[in-house]
Amino acid sequence: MIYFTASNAVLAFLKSMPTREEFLRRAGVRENSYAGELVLKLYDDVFVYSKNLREEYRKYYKIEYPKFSDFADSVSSIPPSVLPKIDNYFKRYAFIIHFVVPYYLEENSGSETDTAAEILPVLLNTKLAK
Amino acid sequence: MTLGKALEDISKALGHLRHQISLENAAGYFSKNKILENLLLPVLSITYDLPHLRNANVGGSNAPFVDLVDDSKNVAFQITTERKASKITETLEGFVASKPLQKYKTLRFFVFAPTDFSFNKTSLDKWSKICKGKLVFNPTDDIVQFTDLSRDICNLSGPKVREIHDLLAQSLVGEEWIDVRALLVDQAITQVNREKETGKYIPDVFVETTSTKALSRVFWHPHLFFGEILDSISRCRLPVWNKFFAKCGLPLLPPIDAEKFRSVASPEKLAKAAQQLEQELLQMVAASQLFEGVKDLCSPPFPIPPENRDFYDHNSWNVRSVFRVAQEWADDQIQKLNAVQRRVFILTGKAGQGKTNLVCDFVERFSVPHELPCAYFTGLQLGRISGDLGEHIQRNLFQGKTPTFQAAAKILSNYAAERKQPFVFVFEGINEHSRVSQFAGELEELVSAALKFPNIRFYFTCRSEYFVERFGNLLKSSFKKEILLVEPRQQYFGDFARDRLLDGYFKYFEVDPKKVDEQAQSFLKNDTLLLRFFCEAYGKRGRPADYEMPDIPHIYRAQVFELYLAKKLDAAADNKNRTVQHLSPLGSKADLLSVIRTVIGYMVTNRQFADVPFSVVPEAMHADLWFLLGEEILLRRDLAASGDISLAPSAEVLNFVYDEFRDFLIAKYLVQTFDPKTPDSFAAFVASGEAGAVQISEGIKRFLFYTSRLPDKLDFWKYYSQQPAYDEVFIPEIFFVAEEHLNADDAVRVRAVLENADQNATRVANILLWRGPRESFPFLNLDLLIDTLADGDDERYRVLIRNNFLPYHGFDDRSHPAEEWVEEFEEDLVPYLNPTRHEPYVQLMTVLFPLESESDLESPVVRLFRKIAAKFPALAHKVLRRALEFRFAVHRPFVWRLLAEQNLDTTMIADLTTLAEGELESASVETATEIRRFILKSTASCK
Repeated sequence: MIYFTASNAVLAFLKSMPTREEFLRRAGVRENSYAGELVLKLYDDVFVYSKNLREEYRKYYKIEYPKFSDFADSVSSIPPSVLPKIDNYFKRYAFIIHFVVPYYLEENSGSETDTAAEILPVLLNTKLAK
Repeated sequence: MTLGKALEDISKALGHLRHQISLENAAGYFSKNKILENLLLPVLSITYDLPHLRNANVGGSNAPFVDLVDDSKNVAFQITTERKASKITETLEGFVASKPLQKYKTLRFFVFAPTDFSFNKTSLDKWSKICKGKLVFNPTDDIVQFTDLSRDICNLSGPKVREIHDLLAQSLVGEEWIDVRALLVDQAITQVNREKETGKYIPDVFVETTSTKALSRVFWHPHLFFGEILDSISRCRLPVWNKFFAKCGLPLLPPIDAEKFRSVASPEKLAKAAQQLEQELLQMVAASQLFEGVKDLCSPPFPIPPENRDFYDHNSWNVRSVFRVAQEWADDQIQKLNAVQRRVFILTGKAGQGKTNLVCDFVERFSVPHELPCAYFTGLQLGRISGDLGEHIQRNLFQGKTPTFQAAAKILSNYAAERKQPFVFVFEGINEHSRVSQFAGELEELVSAALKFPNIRFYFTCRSEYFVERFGNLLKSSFKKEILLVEPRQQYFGDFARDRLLDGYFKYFEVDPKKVDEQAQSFLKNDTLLLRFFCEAYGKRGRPADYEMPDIPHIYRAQVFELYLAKKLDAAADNKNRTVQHLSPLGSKADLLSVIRTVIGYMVTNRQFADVPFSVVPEAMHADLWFLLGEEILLRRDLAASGDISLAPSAEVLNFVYDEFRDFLIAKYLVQTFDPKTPDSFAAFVASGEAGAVQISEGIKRFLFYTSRLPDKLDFWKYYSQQPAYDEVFIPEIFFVAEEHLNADDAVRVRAVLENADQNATRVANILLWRGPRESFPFLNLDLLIDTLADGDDERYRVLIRNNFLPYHGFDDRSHPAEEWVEEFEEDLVPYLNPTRHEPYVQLMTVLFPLESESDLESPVVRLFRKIAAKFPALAHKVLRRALEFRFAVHRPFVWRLLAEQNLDTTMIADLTTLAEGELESASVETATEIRRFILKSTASCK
């Protein structure tokens, strides 16, 4: 499940983390191509330079915040629609990834579609929350 | 102490311990068995001369079969409270079968059972069989029981007996035993509850500012949060930055290897690891300094390989951005690593920023659940005690069980060491101590003494304006290198945190957000002190059930302060009415007000805005003064700043808690005592005065300004508006005056500011841009801006309009203010556009045409204007026609282009054609092209 937050960030709830190869396959691009490079750049932005809030909570904040929702609420602008469900999600999803929408996925004023909203569900193999 | 008494005490302690164990074992609890290993270790070490005896179970799970070992004498101990032969049998079997244990030549059992036991022949034979050829085991000597231990201690020398006596006395069975954990938790929680009761700590209102709380976490729990620093470093985008620098042909930043520090365990190693990591980060920062000189579109300040030059030229604008991001990131990590290493954390901040809330929240929700040892004191409370500071603290913590502060510090340090956590002394609001200069010295002495014990740390909070002046000695002390001075900056308080703070305050004080205008809310978010005052002034909390909160369309500072004062006085008066039997005929509130007037009067007369001597308040008013002090927010006792020779060293003084509130009261006092017939005394106060005289603050000028704008203060306004002090604060304060209190004179003054076309004019223009038209804002409105622009040249246009719409170039993107304005306008206004009421907005669009425009004269505002023109052609024609009367020229090509696109009536075409022909000769090339286009189009349409 993917949620966009008010601060131009994404909260992605995933059961597993794809490998780089899987990510390329989902994008339908070859590794040593311009598109492949771009997709791997996105992979790094989503999985390497981002935070897994679930892991962070488990390691450092579990004692301070008895509920995951309290922790999540204090560190990032969680959309109000997801807050009531987030403790349940915490049990169901192994990865709760929090990352800022990379600049190359930001919506252009002239564009008719929202690139991030279109691409991320495919590459992360999950749905975009309504 | 005699040897006999020492032995008697030892016997009692061992008996007591034995009894406790029998009770606990009977109940099924075996926790003390574990403690026994540590408790008995030093006793056995002394008794059996095993100086290197150590706990074999340290660092993890139970070592099987043995509990204590001495590697130098190859002796191992099994400690058990079970008096069963089978326990001995099992242990012997396991011991002889274990290869690692074979280095121990002797295995002894310490059976600490409620009663001694004897073993039969069958057991002896069995043990002999197990040990045959593998271990020399003599049950009579190697099974030590309680009576054996007592006997063996009796046979020791006097000094050794006394050593054991002292050990047991301080252990959990001795008279000097202190349950550190229980005492500490109790102390800290009691203090937090006290802060809740006084209203200084409002749970759920505190909002984390990421940096301050994150630093505090690291400082209090360095072991745990060092791991988080390592995680953060492992997520660093350094490889991405280096890839970019490599493409630019720039030197790479040095890599940082954080993973090698993952297994650090001891506090000493942790500090060293933090230091090493800090060095690596500093090297990275030093290497990145090279990029500071890179400027967009300029030659590089260093050689770039030819093959990278093209990429560099296209991306040089980004190098500095990457440099800044890298440096900010490194600075954050370095600051956290400092929090791992340093031992004195000083958090300073302005009043109302939430220091008390932070400390209480931190103790309650972080320190206590984590079982981090700490003790919490406030400056205010410490100011109420007399005598030695250390003495008071150790008595408070250990209820007189420790002889000195040093002894207490040692216990705390040892306790912290066992837990691998620091012990933190919290001193909150040190500036609130009643004898600050004396306290500053005592504090320095105390910290200096305590830091000799390795695991002790200090966490201080202090108001920033007092810190350097009154506690500057700490920064020059012997422990100055241990200090981490932190002042959270307001701008670090992001939108998200501000929203939460507002929500928290509104909920706590029961303010109905629906009754507070959106703009007013956004104003409150940016001023924490005002937010607190506002909530206290308007919130339902503590008010009668029938209280109805009014609608708040705007925030007027003076009004909020007035209500806050009234509420505080009510609270103090209520207290007085409840406790005093004989009330004065004037009423409690009037009495309380006269105390305030006395203090303020002294401040004004003596131009002394702090440290008013206590003696200024006549004794007859002391009872009322104490009620005001009881409110704590209003007045407080303090000591004159050191160096004030006009006061005796021990003189008590009065100050206002909030300087801004004091300024409000001074302004109120000045206006109340102002006599228009003899304005000299007022003028003398407001004027700068003699050289070296204390200047009145900006705050007083502001509140004088607000007060002068009240309808019933016309006489004062007539006088004060002619004074330089009025002009000094006119901008921007005029925009915080209630709309109904504005007048035509304000419009004249604002226009004059706009005409100056300086930085101030840009700010004012920005405010007017977001204010509505004349209908809603009779004097200071959008029309005023447009009228002033209309008379101005291109330079005025640049200052008032263009400078307010400059795009911001960030690292990842660029902002587009004009585009954002269009988006907002289109969403909020276009669907409800009324051609009469909203004409000034559409007129403004004609001025905004050139912003973010392209060479084909297209721009976001032009595109939106076309949509509006399609729906309201008459309005479009009207504003375009007026735009041609504006003196500046930059917008003209756009206006002519749009006029050419319109279906105009013949009268307008005739009028415009005349104008066009007249303008053609003097017009710029661009405008001339559009004028020709217009003439051609209109000629064609006439035919």
